[in-house]
Amino acid sequence: MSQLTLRALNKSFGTNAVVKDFDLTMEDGEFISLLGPSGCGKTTVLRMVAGFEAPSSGAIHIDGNDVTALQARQRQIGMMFQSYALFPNLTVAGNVAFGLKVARLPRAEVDLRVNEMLEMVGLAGLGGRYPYQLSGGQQQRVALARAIAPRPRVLLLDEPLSALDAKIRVSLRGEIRAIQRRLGISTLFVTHDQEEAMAMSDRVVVMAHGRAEQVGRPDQIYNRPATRFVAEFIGALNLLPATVTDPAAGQLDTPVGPVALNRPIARSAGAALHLAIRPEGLHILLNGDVANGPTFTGKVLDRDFLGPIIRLRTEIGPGTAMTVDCFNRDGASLPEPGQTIRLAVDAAAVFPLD
Amino acid sequence: MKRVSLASWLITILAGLYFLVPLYAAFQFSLQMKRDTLSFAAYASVFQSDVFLRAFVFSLVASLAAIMAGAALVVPTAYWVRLRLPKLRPVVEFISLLPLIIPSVVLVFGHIRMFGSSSFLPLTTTDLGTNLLLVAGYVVLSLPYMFRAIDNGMAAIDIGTLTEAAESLGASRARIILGVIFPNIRAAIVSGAFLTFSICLGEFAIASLLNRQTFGPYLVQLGQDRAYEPAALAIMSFGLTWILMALMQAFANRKPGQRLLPFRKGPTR
Ligand SMILES: Nc1ncnc2c1ncn2[C@@H]1O[C@H](COP(=O)(O)OP(=O)(O)OP(=O)(O)O)[C@@H](O)[C@H]1O
Ligand SMILES: [Mg+2]
Repeated sequence: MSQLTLRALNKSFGTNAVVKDFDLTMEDGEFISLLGPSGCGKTTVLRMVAGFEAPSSGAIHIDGNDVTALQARQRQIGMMFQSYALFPNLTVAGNVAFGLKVARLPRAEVDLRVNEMLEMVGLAGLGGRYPYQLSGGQQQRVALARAIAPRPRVLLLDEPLSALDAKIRVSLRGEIRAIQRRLGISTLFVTHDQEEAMAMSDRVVVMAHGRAEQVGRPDQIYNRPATRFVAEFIGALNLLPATVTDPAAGQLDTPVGPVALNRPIARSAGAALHLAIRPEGLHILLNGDVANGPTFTGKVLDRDFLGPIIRLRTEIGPGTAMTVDCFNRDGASLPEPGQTIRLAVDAAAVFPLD
Repeated sequence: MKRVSLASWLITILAGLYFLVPLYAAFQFSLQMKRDTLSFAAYASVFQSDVFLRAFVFSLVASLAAIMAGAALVVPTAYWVRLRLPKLRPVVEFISLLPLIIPSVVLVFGHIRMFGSSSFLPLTTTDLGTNLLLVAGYVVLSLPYMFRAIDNGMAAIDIGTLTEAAESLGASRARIILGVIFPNIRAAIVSGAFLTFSICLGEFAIASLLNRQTFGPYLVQLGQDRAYEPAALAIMSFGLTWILMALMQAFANRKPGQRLLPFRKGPTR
């Protein structure tokens, strides 16, 4: 229900700069994920928003008010932790009521809100249990109910699903998202699971070494990664070294022969770069198929069965590997390892990277 | 394998005898106050003594005061050290262990010098002041046990994350300590309290040098004056200690929401 703005946030622990020039504007009701490898500073950003760490420089605004100097308890922020962090001495209802009692809501209203929240997270009737009597998934639902009960302005979640098993993780993330949409609560979500980030978020911030490498919708991040780091971090990716021969016509030279993108490239002739190709941007040419784009010839090295898709690792030239995804269709004949195949590239799906 | 278990049985039995035989002897002796017959006369005699009752109640009150003062001192300290000053923990722990190294006679002489009749704060000149000094002395004596128990209790829960969870819900420091930390280390506080209680009950040096009529000096005096009553008292102290230990166990193993007594199930509405 609020707008969150982070402006030029920096954080150092001693001489170790952990967050660098971090900018982000979160719109009302938006769900944004911070995604990045371990140690890139995601948790630190979240903790600065929560008020558990003070930024070395920069400012945090909620609804236009500078909250940088406010203590955590004054910020009206809801937080969910990886370890649930429920109060062991309180019942489920007591946990959910905690923030409401701190805010001195009248008792009747507290009871009403607690029931409403437990209903929302699917735990109606379990209010009298203690945390140790609940499963991990149930405990995290309680934690969600507790965090949103006082109607926080911003909801912060630090890998709340990573302690749960795969099935519950997927169902709970759907529920969190549904509740977040229903309440329209602005949410910042930390994860190192790209699938989770892609599935849940309005926008994703890909972080590396304390910086925001790219901020964008999941499809933008995936289809048009801005930097090589983002491209390699998100999904699987083939990188083919290339030299520009004709920028205007989109002609390049590669170790496996010339490639034409048929669109202008914003580089000068002779510039060295990499062509990034997603495994699903390639397909296998059967005998007699005619390609209307670049093609490669390669030898299948091995084959991974991934369920809906089958991933082939091929070698299209000496020391040049290319990974190809094809759909798993029952009855379709798949190339065997050792077999030579022809691959066609969808030129529109190829993007140049440094 | 068989021989090992035989040896360990033997050791257990010997140790048990070493402990139980004197206890039994004392018990047997305490029953012989009346000639040629076994009776609880010595016990009755103890309970009929006004001095005993006064000393016991005074000790009880003084140790309860010491327990409360000790918990009020140690809980916030241990909390803050764990949360914000983890580097200082060895130092604080060392300080808390000092009462085990420095004899309590030294402590009480220090008290008398610092707060004697010619000092800036002549506490020893009034009864109330001297009682305060006694309680303060007890708090110091109990520090090693209180600090250990409470610090271990805090290690068992993730106080850092619980604190942050409570903070994000708007709770103040005081509310966090009273509403989140205290209840979750209650078992630890209770076990520290029972240890404190048993130390204070038997304490002699501080009480007698401050001239307080507590249980410790009473026991010593009784040992000089009487024959059978001290044995009866010793047996009763043992009984009390065992009851306290059983209570400590019950508290430590209790889950939130469970009653102390196992046969009444906790609420699971
Ligand atoms: N209190 C602290 N004191 C010193 N260094 C810290 C502190 N907290 C974090 N760091 C360092 O800051 C860096 C970023 O930590 P952070 O916890 O933000 O990473 P993260 O992106 O959340 O990683 P993960 O995915 O493993 O949780 C790490 O190198 C870490 O060692
Ligand atoms: Mg983290």
